[in-house]
Amino acid sequence: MSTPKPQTITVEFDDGSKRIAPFETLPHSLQSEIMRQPFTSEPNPQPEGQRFILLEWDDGWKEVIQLDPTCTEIHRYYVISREEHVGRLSLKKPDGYPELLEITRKPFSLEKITFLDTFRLALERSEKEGMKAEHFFALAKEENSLSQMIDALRLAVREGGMDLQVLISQESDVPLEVYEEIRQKLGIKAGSRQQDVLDFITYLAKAASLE
Amino acid sequence: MKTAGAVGVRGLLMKMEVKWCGFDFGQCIQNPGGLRNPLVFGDIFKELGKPELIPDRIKRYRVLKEKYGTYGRIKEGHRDEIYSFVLEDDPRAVALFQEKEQKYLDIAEGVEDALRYLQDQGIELHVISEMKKTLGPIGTDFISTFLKRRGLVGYLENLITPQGKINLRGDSLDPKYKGTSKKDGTLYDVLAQELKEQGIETHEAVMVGDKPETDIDPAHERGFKTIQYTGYVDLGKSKADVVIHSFSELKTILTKKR
Repeated sequence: MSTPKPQTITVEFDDGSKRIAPFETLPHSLQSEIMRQPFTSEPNPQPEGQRFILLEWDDGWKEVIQLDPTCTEIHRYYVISREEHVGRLSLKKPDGYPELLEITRKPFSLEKITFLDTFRLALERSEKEGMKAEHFFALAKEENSLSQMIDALRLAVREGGMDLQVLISQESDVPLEVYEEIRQKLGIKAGSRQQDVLDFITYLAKAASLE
Repeated sequence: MKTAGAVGVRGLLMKMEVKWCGFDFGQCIQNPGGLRNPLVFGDIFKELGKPELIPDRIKRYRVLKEKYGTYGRIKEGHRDEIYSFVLEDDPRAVALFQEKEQKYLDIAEGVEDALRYLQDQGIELHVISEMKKTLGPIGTDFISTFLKRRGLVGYLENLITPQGKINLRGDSLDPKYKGTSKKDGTLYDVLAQELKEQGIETHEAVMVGDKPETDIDPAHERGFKTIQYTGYVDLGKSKADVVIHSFSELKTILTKKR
């Protein structure tokens, strides 16, 4: 008996609704991530038919990883070493534990951040600690980018012959292509989840209708 | 005498008198240091509205690197697999990949200054690349586009590839190099013959590049002078006459042969 293959993924929400998708439509990295969780892990009925890799460190540490059973031999091992820059953007929260976002896209080139207000960043000071350096940026308030985005949204809606109210209505089935057209006109991209940018467009549409 | 840098092991300044100079492209004239996978594939899939695919596609590109050894080898010889294996032949993703590559690739430090000096000397300057399967319409290929955008076609006359010789200023194609290869040396055989017809012997021509197996050794074996550039990556021992770390060193090594 071989290991059963996952077929679908179901997500149930607290309002009773469900989303179901074929498992194979998920990105491979997410498939692997799900399949390594304890709730999806089952004992392999034929471990003798599997391939494993055993790693041992000079401090006695040992780890085991199951491999794709079609692996045949070790190709090579190497270590990449380079200076990495990662931005850390933290936001205050009432529970005292700040929300932490990691900015991996050209963190030194981040120019402005808008949250409630818009702030321009300027390198203020650097602190070195052993091999690590932390570069702190000062935030200077400037003209709010959201107002400009709202104006750009109005223009995009007008040029596209669309109706702002349709975008606002959560009930209406606005085709994704409409959002995509607006997104491109606004020149915005989702940082990690595409739904965020769709929701942001609706957020802007609501703000535009209130002004 | 092989030297480390422009100064030889006996303290003598290494000088070469040449009439012709060929440069490799990838990791030589062009510096891929700004081309980071999370940045390129992040930008592509965010722009496509599919940010969820980013980790997956980066991993696929890294798998391709394991298949071919280095990103440079993928780019020069197996670019079609970036399009098929990593980007699943999505034409928008492919177009964005080409655009981002152009955007984030740089020219090597000091290269323009060195080219200007060599041109002023009266030395003919060309690009010799192993680029395969990626030529596309003449004058719109990846290398021509890069050189034009960076304003280097004023210095470099031709792009010689296994798909033909492209005149960078006129966009005409001479097919005599078609089917040749730098690695097996057939490209240098055709080049040596063409130079001879112009009255230039191989010892009056120099090849500058980073890869021993394609830029240096096959050219050296055919009598070309050779300079190994290690400014971006040092790919190890070669038959090069000189090893340089910076393009500025060319100004002290090369002079025009009268």
